Amino acid sequence: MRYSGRVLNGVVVRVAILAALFAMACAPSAPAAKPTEAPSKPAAGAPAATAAPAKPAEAAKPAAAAPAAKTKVDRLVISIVTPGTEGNAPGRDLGAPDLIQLRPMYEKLIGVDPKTGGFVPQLAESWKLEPDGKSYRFMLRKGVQFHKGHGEMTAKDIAWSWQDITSEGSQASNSLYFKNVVERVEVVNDYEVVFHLKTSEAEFLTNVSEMVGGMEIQSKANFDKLGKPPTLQDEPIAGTGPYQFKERAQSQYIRFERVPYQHWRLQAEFPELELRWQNEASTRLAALLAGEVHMTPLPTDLLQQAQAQSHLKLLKGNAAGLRVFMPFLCCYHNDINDKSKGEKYPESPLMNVKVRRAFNQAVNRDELNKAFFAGKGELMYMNTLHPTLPGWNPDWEKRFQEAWGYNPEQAKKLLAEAGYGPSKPLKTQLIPLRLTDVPESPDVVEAIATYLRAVGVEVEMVNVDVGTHNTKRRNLGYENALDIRSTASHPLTGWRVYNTSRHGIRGSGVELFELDDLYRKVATTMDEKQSADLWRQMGEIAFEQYPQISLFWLPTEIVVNANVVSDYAFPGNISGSWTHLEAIKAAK
Amino acid sequence: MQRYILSRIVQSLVTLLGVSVIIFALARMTGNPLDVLLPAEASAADIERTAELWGLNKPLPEQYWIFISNAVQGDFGVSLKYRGQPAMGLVFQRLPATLQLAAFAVVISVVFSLALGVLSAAQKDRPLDTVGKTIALLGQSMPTFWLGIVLIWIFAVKLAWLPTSGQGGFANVILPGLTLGWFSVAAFMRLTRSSMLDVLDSEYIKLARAKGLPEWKVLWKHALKNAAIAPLTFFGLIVGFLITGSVTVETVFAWPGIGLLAIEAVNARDYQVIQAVTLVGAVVYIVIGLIVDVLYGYVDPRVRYS
Amino acid sequence: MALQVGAWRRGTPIVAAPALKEGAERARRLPLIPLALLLVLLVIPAVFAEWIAPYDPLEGSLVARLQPPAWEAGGNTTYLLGTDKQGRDLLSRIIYGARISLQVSIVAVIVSGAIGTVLGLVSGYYGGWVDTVIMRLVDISLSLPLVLIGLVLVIVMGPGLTTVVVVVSLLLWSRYARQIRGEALAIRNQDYIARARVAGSSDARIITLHVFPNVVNTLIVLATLNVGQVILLEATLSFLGAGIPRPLPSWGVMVADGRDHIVAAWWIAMVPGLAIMLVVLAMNMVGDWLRDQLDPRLRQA
Repeated sequence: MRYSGRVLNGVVVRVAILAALFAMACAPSAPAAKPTEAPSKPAAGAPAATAAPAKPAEAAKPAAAAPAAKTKVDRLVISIVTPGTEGNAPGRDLGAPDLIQLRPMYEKLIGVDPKTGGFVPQLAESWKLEPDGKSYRFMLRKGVQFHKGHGEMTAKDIAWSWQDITSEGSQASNSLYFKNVVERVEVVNDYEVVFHLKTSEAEFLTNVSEMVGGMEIQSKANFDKLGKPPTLQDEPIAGTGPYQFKERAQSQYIRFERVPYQHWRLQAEFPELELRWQNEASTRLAALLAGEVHMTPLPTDLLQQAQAQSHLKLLKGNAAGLRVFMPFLCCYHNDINDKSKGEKYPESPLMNVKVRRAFNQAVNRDELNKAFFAGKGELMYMNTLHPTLPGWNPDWEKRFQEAWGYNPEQAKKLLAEAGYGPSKPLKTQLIPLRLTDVPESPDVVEAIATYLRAVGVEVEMVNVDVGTHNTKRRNLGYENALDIRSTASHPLTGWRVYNTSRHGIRGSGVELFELDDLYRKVATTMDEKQSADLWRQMGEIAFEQYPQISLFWLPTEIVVNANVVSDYAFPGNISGSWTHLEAIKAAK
Repeated sequence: MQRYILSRIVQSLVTLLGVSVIIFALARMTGNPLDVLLPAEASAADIERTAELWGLNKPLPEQYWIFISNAVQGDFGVSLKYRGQPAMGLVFQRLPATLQLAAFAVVISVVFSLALGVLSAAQKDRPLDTVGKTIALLGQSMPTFWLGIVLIWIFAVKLAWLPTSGQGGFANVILPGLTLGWFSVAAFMRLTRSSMLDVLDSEYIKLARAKGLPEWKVLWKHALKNAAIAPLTFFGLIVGFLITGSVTVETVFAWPGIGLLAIEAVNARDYQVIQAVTLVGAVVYIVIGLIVDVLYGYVDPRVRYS
Repeated sequence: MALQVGAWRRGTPIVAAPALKEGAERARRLPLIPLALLLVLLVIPAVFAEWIAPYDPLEGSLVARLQPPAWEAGGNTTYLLGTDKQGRDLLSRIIYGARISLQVSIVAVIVSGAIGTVLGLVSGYYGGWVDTVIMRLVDISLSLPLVLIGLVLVIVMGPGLTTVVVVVSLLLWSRYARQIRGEALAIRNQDYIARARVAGSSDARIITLHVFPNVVNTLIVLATLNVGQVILLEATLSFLGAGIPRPLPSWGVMVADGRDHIVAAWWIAMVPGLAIMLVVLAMNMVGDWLRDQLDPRLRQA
């Protein structure tokens, strides 16, 4: 037989290789990769809540599926979308939405009340504006301990935290803000610190509070001991929160444990807290149904399946939600200080306010709301301002339908008035970005493209990835385009980022000189009545000038397993991520 | 023989160098990682400053030289997305997961193709033969990601027998392994089938049958022996799985291997990690190729002189 | 029989050709079913899309989103295969998707085939350092991870049909090159080539008139088999977001879109996936048959 010579060797070798491979395949996952350990029973992932007769997890798997009774768990697992960056230095590595991965272990000077959304003292017991109108004096709480024996929190830690976030090359979202706005930080004594600002800044308190990510208070002593910013190989610098760092596995999870001593603020009810990264919504849903995770946000389309389970509850944030809108990327000044220097793209069709109005009136917001958000969106009459915030003019709600509301005939008429029609069609670009907080965003943009086409606009969908898009946007490269944004930022921040050209942040919206001037005023106005007045004026200008396609205020919601979690009070999507996780109440 | 080995080694090094240049250039062409990493409020000037800080502004040849000279010493730079983590360290951390998946896929692939191949040969040109060939061909006709989704739907959702995704116990590796492995069943099965057919025609077999040996013994003894055919294609399979299949399967099943790492790195413009992953893949492929070539050189002298 | 050096790299051993009798039997059986499948699923929709498709594949009606196919509960005959999450008719999108698949695959096969054949011929005929250089290029191309390169190229070039064609071609040319080179190697040592050279024919003439016609069979078989590969590759790239951009109805994009809804709206992902599978299967079967007809030596590939 022709193979006789080599056969025996061949067979033995073959079988040996197969055996080795099989052993390798069946081996438990290597510890180095730190896969989902401990309570990860194989997911019974059976979302039985569809038309098909329930093939329920109850029948198939023991224990893993929907327990009917209240369960006490030692580790609360919250599943969210993977952060863009993973790092251990909050002041240097992480932008606002990514800060969630370290949030439970840090506290800020000023906290946010989970029910009202207003300021409450946290590490600062009190604060006041100095007579010069541009310094803030903070009186610090005494006896607050840093984790793992790093001593008491004092003013030098505050000063150092500011230094950290303003260090060169920091990726923190507010790094530049703090660098540009704060002149110096003065340590008066162990419990008193003064921030001297360059000018009056109405936004300052918001930025040191829990409303915005940044200025997490870290232990200077810990940093000194480490000698350098912590990398992923080290542990994060000690904080003062009710949870301390336990362990993390890259691209999989991070775990915190309750501090072993009596915390000054509250005692966390769950001994351990885990944030688990799972990008796919259907995976998160399956994990939730299987009992592997206890809380997770889900896109609207999947919420129905979740809610069909009796033990799953939908919890909503208490304060005003997320704003979703499409800024016009077109209209930039050549010189932000000099009107006479003209506009960068004077020929852009979007420079014409009639066109911008037409775009708004082409969109059927009700239909969008029902289709993608199950009707939960609240119509946004004015970007940034809300009936519950100061400066609101109830008139806007009345005038909205006429000036901004769905009216395709009106839209066509406006376009004709602006000189566009079948012989000279209006062309524009739409960029369907996928927003972390609003996973339906690309669909929304596609739907809006349909509406625009219906009134005769030629739409080109530009499918770029985020990085390329951001580059072009920052360099004011877009002449005639719209993308989509969501934010829960404080009104001042919102104005600053999307409607003015201040602080070197450009490329995010229509620049209007009048708004710029008014913004400069309101940013330095400390009197509340005066600012409300100014905001109303700014609102009026925005109402008339159509700087974006306004869409909705979306509630911030999360699905929880009611057998494990009894309550979670949170303000909403502040600082771009979930807050107050330490205060989640266990089911009893 | 020495000369042959030497020349093959030199050729492999040249290939590796070429791969490094290409991936270096391509990774850099994706744009500035800072656009993705720095906050939305950062201005163009701030990005410039940070780029300076991170050495991203040096001329390309200089960056390449730094890259290569460090790489030879095993230093592939530091990841930008996982702050402070060495790029190669990340790759090695995630490699075992992919290896586990690939190993299981190979096992499934071999078992299925042997079974189908023998069956098809024995039932040559009869209905079972066609069925066997079609099943095998199916594996090469389905998009891997679709197969994965269908399997998840059937076994994890409707039947709830297996987990939907992620790495965990043995149950977790079944669906992804099956998805990955089915693709190669076709090629391998045809191999087995035709060699079986050739052998079944031989005198030796006729003698065995005449002697009264049961048919199954005749078949399966030779099935095993025929697994000795093209022994080196095993390695070709593994390599293929590691490099091509793993990306899609790992994405669908959220399997934390190097495929998923690679995609994350591309999205985050994490140059160092992109380079590290690609080079690891290329090295594996090239080394395997080298070994196989050398072994073939031993087995078949004609190859040495081509 | 040509020595297929390096055959192992394609996963093929050096094995003897089958009995001739079998080949003759096969020749008589035209693969009717696969050809019919191809016609119905790929060719006719691609060519006659405008006439067959009931709706516009790009415009949807939000009111009609996520409708099940006509035979399911809740479906109706307005939308035979149901609608996707933008309310677009799935049937129309599948039909137009066939056109995209066909376009991309034909162009990609032609481009990669052309590049691969030329390089393979040159490499095999001339040998020497030209051969070495080209084979190194082939090696490099084979060692680069396909999908990664695709993703990176899409970022660099922007998404679009051209990009997809470029990516796919870059990844497939080496298969032609390798195979054709092997054939060319064998052919160049033949007598009639020597005679032509002695007679004073230029190299280019020899390659074109004598070598090329002998590799055409191989080329045709490879091309046919590769069409299926291209469709799969394009679908994979689109699934990963690096292929045909939205809202164009590529089958790969459609499967990606339907992923999140696999439980509640399974048709969005299942139907296009099924289309891909059937088309590629049919293509592979036709390719197999062609190979049996034209070049039995390749049977083990």
